[in-house]
Amino acid sequence: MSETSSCHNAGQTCWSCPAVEFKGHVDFRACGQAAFRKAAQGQLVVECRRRPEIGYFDPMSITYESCSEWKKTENGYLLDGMRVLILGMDGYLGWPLALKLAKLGCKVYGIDNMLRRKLVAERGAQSVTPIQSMQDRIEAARKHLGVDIEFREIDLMDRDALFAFIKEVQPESIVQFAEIPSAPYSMADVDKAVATINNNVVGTLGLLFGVRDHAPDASIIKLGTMGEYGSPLTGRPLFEGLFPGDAVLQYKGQEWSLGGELTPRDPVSFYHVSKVQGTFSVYEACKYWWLRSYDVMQGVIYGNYSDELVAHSDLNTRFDIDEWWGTVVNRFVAQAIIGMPLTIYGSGNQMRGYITLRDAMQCITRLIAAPPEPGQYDVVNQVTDVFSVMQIAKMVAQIGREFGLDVEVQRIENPRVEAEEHPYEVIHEKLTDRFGFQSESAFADEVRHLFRVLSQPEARNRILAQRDTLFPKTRWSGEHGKLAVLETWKPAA
Amino acid sequence: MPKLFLLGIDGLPRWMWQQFADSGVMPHSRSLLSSGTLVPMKSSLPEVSSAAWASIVTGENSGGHNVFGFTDLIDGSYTLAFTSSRTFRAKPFWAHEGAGPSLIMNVPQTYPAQPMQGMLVSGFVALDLRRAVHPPEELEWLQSINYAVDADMSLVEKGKRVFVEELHRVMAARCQALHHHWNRQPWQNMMFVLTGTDRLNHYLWEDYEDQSSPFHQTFLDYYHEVDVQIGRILERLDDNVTIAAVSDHGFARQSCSVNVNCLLAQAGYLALKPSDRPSYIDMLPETRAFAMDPGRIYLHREGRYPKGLVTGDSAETLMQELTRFFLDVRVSGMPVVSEVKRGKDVYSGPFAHRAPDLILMPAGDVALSGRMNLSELVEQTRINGKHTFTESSFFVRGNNIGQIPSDMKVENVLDVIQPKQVASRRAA
Repeated sequence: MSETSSCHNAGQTCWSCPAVEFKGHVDFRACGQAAFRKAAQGQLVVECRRRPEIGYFDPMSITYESCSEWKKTENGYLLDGMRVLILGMDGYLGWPLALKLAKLGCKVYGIDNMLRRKLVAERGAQSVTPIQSMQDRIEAARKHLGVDIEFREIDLMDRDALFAFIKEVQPESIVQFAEIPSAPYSMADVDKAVATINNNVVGTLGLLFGVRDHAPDASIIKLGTMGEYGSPLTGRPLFEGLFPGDAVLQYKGQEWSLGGELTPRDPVSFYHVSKVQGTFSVYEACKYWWLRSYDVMQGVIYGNYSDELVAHSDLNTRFDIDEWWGTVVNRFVAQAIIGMPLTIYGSGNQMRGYITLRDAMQCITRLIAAPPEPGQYDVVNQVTDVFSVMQIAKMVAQIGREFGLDVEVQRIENPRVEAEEHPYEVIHEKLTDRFGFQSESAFADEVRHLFRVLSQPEARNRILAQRDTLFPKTRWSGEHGKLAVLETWKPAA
Repeated sequence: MPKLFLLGIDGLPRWMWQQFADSGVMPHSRSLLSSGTLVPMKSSLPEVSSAAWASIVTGENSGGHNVFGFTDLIDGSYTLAFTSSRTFRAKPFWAHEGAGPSLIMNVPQTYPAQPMQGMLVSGFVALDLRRAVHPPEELEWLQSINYAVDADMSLVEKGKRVFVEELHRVMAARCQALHHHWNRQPWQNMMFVLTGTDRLNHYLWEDYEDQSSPFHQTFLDYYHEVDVQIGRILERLDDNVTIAAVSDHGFARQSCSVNVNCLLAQAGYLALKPSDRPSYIDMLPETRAFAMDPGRIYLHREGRYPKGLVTGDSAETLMQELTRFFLDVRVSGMPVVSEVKRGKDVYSGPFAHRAPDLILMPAGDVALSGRMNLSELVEQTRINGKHTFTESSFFVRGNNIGQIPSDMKVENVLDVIQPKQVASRRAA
């Protein structure tokens, strides 16, 4: 990591620091009258909860680099012992993030209702890599990494318990991962669609009120998805959530600036609808209440490597491969391991953005380290590569051959309602340009690591035990019946 | 020891008080002024309320009490901090041994409220009332009457009528608090400061000067209400009490506000790295001098500031150069600075080394500012009245008072109104 990229937030000031409390505005040209609304004009006045001896001060006059409370780490300056609350800490992303942040010196708190474990089990599936109970995970983290993590089993929908915990913890950053993350699950039947919308939309909305009332200076890292944008057939670039300043709408001979407006959303399932609604809720809360948030439009995530996870198998994060809970790269590797054809929906030319678990954790950490200013809502496209599903299948098959596997690829009837041929131009510049992100993992290396892990006997047996859950059954149309196989072949070496 | 009532009327010029007393706008003041002595007084340098009130209550100049303005850089850094009771390093008169129980209300620079014998409610800048009250158990009652340390300046944007209504509201609650707490016990010392007068003068000075303005009478009415409150106070004081009334600076018309840092940047003395919200930490090492509100000039000295490169050897030459520059500079053809004073000539005391190197005295109707936002040399502002160094008010009536100096200054107030106490402290 270069010196420059590790210090992306060196020049940020106390105005974006969650340890600082807004006190008012003064105008010393007129003897210091105070205005207590953040929207007012005048010299900003803040106090630091950590360094009260400074008294009132201009938040622009201290940078993270010059503040004794911010410590330099490989992911930029981090507020020493920053209190980070991870909602959904038991999940695929939540647990590795907890380990990474704790290792970096954050005080990590987490909640989860353990729903994911229940839903996966109900599906007849399981994590391919065995995972411990939360109690044992925390003990393993203490033993193998020397970190303390605090956890409460709280449902995001239990607002009384959630708010009480927020009040108790006084988080300086809140990571919202506590959502049901499956498109096919949300399309399976009415109960699952409603459960997804309820948890994701209503849960996030409730959270925003809790932050407003109990931790208004905490930055909110909200996990969205690239699927919120859809794949516009016009080829319009997928900007990072907001139109750039020079974007213009032309209509009937007139022009209007679009700069700063939310870009169009075209979700591709009720799960994605829930994510879009979450985006609007967060966007509005930042506007109404001066909350602050980064909305992370994450590409399809894959892999199971992080420096902390590999310290011991008791620290495993969950790794799902079934139709509902697995993501495409992870599923393809699992299929390849057990000699099952890699299932491509329709033409396989659907383009998507991708990112490894390891890179995603770095991105989220860098966002936590560089909080938005009060009232600021911003969006990042958390993507490193863009591939078609067909490309991925071919690359996985190719790498599978390195492990002695003779991998087949199979096109099947597309269970989804989606464009199969479409342009796809993803803008993903902010994380690298503004947050110093540099990818630490390449597609092929990560897939090789997966082959190594999943070809272990226990993992292979766990894949075989849930073989029936791998082939897709959930149709967006609501129709039932086995999806037709259109074509099966072995990609050329 | 005679009891003391010290009334502060922020920003009330001596000549205006006399004028309003004579014209009938302030009838209670007329009888008060005729019973004692009113003289013009010089303010602090620069003529800002924070430094001036600190001088009034301590008898020191800024070199003695460490308040040079509303803001200061924390030593060895570029952190722009606001002066407060924590940075205020001289004892106010109520904190000295033997001062007796005191009721101190709305004195600037007393936030956060420090423990003392009696009761204290801080004056501006005090953005959190919960920490502005000693003893803290008095907070709840003050909250119940919607006590505010200061008016909300942003109401100016909603119009002068709304703004003045806010000033009346704040004054009414403040006076209610004074009389409520006055009754609690026999106080040895009372100090009570009205600050709405200063706010009114800043934003409605043009209406005072323009008798045809629809807000001219609004201006007079506010002073009339101040006078009503003075009358209520006088009713409760007998001849055994030393009564003093002071303002911290005078007032005059302001036609424009010039950002001194813009002048310094244009002339190459100040260089900032690009920033959306520039502050002192954005100064580049090539910066040789910078300003802080209103016209305090600091050399970017090596050893005093982390990136400073101005050496002791070059300081004198630079100060001479800057003095010539400021006296010569014109904005829209008009002079900006009438006089440049040297900090070492102005300040004395244990904190004189923290003083600005130069103090600019504004010319004519010009006001000075030292903001780091360099987007406007002449700033857009609704402010049309400015402080003056001369012509603040000093009134005193009593049987045990000291001699009033011919060149009365804010740091002389205690010498006159508490001569024995000051003498005994000096002897000690």
